[in-house]
Amino acid sequence: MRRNLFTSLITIGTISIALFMLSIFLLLSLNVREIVQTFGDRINITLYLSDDLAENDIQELINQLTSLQEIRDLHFISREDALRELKVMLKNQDGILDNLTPNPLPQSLEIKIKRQFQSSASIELLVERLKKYRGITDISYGDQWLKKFTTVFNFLNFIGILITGMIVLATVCIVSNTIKLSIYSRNEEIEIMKLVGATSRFIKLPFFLEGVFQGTLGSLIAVGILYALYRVSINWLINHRFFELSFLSLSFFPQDLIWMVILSGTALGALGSLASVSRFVRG
Amino acid sequence: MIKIFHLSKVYPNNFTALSDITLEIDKGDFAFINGQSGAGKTTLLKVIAGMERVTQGEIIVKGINLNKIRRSKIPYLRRSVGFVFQDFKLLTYKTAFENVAFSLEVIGFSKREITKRTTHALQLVGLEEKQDSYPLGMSGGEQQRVSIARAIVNDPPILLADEPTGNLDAYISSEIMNIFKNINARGTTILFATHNRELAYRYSNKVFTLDRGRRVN
Repeated sequence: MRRNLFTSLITIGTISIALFMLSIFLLLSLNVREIVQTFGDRINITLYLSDDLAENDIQELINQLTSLQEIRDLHFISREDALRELKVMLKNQDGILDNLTPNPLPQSLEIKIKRQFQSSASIELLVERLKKYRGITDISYGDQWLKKFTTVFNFLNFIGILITGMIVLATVCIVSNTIKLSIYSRNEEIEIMKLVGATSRFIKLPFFLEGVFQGTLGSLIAVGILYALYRVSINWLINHRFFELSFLSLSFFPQDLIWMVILSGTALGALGSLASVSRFVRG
Repeated sequence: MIKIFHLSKVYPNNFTALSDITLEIDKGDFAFINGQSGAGKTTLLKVIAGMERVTQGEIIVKGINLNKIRRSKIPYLRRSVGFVFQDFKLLTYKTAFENVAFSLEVIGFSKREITKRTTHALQLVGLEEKQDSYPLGMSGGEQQRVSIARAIVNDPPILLADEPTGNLDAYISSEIMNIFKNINARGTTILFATHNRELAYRYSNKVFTLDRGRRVN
């Protein structure tokens, strides 16, 4: 190991850089996704209810709707509440509402949708089903806006997956080639081991362990640098008051993704070494 | 000890290195393969050591048919076949002692046994004084002696040598030849490849001559 310190350092460095690139892209796309989804959370379906629906009818309807899997949150707005809200919205011109008796606004239910159902297709399906409930006179949801949102979201998702795939491919190529070169430089040693009768397991084991070590260390360095960079960015963003924009937030990897990056480094090192050394041993 | 019947070796690029070779080497022989470069001497040695697969024919080493041996068993065959090369093939970052000991470490000898056997092998080739030198600080003859010590340190019954004196002057060569004679006298079967016809006949009357992959005597 000590003798090959230089090649070892280069391998570890390459693995760090490659995994760093991959994880910084993953982190960025994770955060973009997060931000886009906060827009999705604003998707609102309003169910206008018939005026003759009594209080216990409404309660029963609420009970039925709550059991639907798509629905995250449900909120009843009485006619009085609706008028109050309208007044708030009209603020300075609320005088025009003064003579409105009786209150012409209908009572309604406001529904929020769970994240996995925030696409125009599944919302349209839901709306079709909702139409069949007794007492619902009209349903409004920003269907134009929703379609645009879904298109943008799917597009970003597609680009994200495409780029992630390309970076993963590049990472595997770069790392396996680096390992191959570092093992090639020890070709002579492998040849002599074979010459004097070393079993292939005996030859492979040290390379395998070295690969595990280099891969794990490389990915730990990558995650470490990424975390440092993340902390610095957070501080910068706080100092520049970015988070006052309500939809902006910045999160680090969830723990299982950190483990995944580290494990993929380990696997990359181990498999890369094993594949390369096997080629020499076989010959 | 080594029996070869109608052996041919054709490389994937259709180059025929050996063609219809039949020969037999008995236990305790000091046999030679003689021929110009490109005659197939190295290929023949590599086939015997299990480094190359046979295309046609049969080869039996120590009673083992190499056509039928499993790949995973080849390392164990190598342990009974020592190999000395023209270019020594020593690890430059290891001392003479470590180079010789390496082949015992690989096989899994105990530390004590390694020290004992390595010291003994280095004595046999007359290098006990130089055991802590590195190959690059040694003469060609000394390096070749280290590689001979490495080849015999685990007492293999067969020793293959591929032009071991090819890079050495006449005086050093005869020193090396004496070492081989001593090893042979201890009972090791030796197959020695050389382009030097005179050398072959001086040390043995069992000389197989190859010409462009065919046996001519």
